[in-house]
Amino acid sequence: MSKKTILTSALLLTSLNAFTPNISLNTDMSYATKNIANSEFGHLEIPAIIHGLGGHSHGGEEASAMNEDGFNLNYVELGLSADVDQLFSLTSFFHISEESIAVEEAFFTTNKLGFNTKLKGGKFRSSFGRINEKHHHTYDFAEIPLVYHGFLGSEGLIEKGLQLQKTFDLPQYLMAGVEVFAGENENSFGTGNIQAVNAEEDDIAVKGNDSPNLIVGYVKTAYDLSEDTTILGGLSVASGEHRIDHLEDEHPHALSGDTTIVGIDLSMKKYFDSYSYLSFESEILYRELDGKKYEYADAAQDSFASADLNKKQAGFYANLVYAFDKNYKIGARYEGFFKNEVNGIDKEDDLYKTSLMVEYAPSEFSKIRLQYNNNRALYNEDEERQNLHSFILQFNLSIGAHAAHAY
Amino acid sequence: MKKLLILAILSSLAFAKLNVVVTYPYIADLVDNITGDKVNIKVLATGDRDPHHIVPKPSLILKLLKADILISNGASLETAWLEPLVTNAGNSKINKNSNGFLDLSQNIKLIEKPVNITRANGDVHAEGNPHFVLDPYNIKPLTLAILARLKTLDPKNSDLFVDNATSFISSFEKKIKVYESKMSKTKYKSIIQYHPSFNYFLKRFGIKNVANIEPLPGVTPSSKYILKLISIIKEKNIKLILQDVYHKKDTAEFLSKKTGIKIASTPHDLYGNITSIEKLFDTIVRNFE
Repeated sequence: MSKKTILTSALLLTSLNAFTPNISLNTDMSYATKNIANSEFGHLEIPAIIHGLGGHSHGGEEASAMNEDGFNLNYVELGLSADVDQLFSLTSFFHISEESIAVEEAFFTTNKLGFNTKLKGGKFRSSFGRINEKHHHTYDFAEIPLVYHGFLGSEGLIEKGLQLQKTFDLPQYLMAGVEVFAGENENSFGTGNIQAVNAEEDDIAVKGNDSPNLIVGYVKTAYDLSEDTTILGGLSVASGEHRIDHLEDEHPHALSGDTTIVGIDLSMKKYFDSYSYLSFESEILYRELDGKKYEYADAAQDSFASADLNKKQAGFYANLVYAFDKNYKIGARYEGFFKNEVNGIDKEDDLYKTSLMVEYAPSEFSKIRLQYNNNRALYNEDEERQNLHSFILQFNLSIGAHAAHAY
Repeated sequence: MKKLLILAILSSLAFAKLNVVVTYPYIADLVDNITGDKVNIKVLATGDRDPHHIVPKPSLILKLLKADILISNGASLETAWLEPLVTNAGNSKINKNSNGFLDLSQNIKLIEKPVNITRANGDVHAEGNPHFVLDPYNIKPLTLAILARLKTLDPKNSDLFVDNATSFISSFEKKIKVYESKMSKTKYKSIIQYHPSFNYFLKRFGIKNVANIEPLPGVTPSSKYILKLISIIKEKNIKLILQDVYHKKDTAEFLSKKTGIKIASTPHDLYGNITSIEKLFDTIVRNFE
């Protein structure tokens, strides 16, 4: 190669580098051990809230995999982002498991509309509540809170649609947003037809609903008690129709009707210096599903019998985390469900889980966490409560672009 | 009536002050030297905290809502906290590509640009060392960069800004002479610091930075590494630790107990009684007396 060619290719490389999007890769691995075997664990359920934590799942593999005995590769998250042009920036995250790759998020953002607004569109994490828009690797505990897992799935509410958000020019922080979504979430919404497996092709019991099927609204505020202490509060509502299809289950059934989820969050964070802080985060979610439940009329599985179904359920979580410095953190979480009413009858509502964790972060890009869980919310198929004790040793490592921290 | 209204709007526009938001207190002082009371200045960070890790609390978004210009240090010093605040403020005036955003690092020749960029060497900045404000000779180009931009955004005050900047630069040049004379007499020709925060200052005045208390940028020292520091201090007869104001002092205190080395708490930015750039350099220089 001549000197000139080398120089040209070097220049080309530099200009290519300048336009290469920010690339980041996050890998989450764990070793878990528990007092209930994997085979049994897959059949456990939280009555009337989650069927089967293992085998049967609605995109729930991630959280349950984390609980599988032995070594787990929980996920690999690939992030690509850059400014598209003077108007848009584009952010995408690919969720990679051992067998497959999925577009977890791909959305544009623009703040060119003025009036202190931000517009977002594509597939993205809803800003419902406090924890929903956070990525798994930024959680203080290994798993998403039970109430989110129960109402929105182990990944939370990630949907296709649009978001418009505005921050108001007031003495205190006040932000409000509206989201319009397809509403495909399999735990509380859903858009598909409900049709018996052996029914005629055009014999659809319940027609699917049109997109957009889900509207989310939220208001968030923050108040600085002092330079270093802030209280945050929020109110969120998600409302849409549901089509929940469990016809492939051991006990086939399907639901259709309306769902409303209301969330209230309250958090407080106090910093002692640049690195040490005490944080309290809590959310309460209330869900009402109102509609009909369909079960096969007979063994032919070609027609349904339906009955009214109304579920009123509520759950919560509360996290307390103390960071000693930039390397060490400890935390405790208490969570569960305190209301579980089906057709006016109270079902099991004494469903609680306690977690304790200690975390060591050698740098900003790696962390090692040991977590203990005691889950008393799980029941086996004979409706007997199972007392789950588990330990998770988790490794989370990031390379590439350095993402900014969320508050 | 209509004419009156237009007149009222025009005059309110004419009297509306430019809203300047800056990331760090030292930038606020540079702006203040140029503008006096002709603009509103808001600061996001406080000067007593780690500038890499400013807590992005929501109230900082409020400060950005009506900003006409955002002036940042740049060179990735704000990477961990600034961008989400700007995005959420929904104020396109201060977007990266607009005239209302100024990255000061673009006007400075950065030192210590890493040849090999790997995080095995800690949380390195690809652009070079971002703590350039601590070279007093950088104050002039920084002032001129801010002046140039403010002139375009607030042309009616541009003559005043030029006068203010000129008189600040000339008075600061006199201060530099004082610093040079004092630093030439210092007995601390070699020092240890916690993080490479003061390298621009040290380089300017020919002071040797023998070691950092953190083994790599952003990495907490291990006990083994601290023992190594003790032997370096003894071997090379080092007499001064520049301890920044935001890292824990316990390692420095341990080193001092073991070797008798002096600890000088050294600010990197304005806070408390350090209310101006001059006072910032006065304090640092005093630590070398």
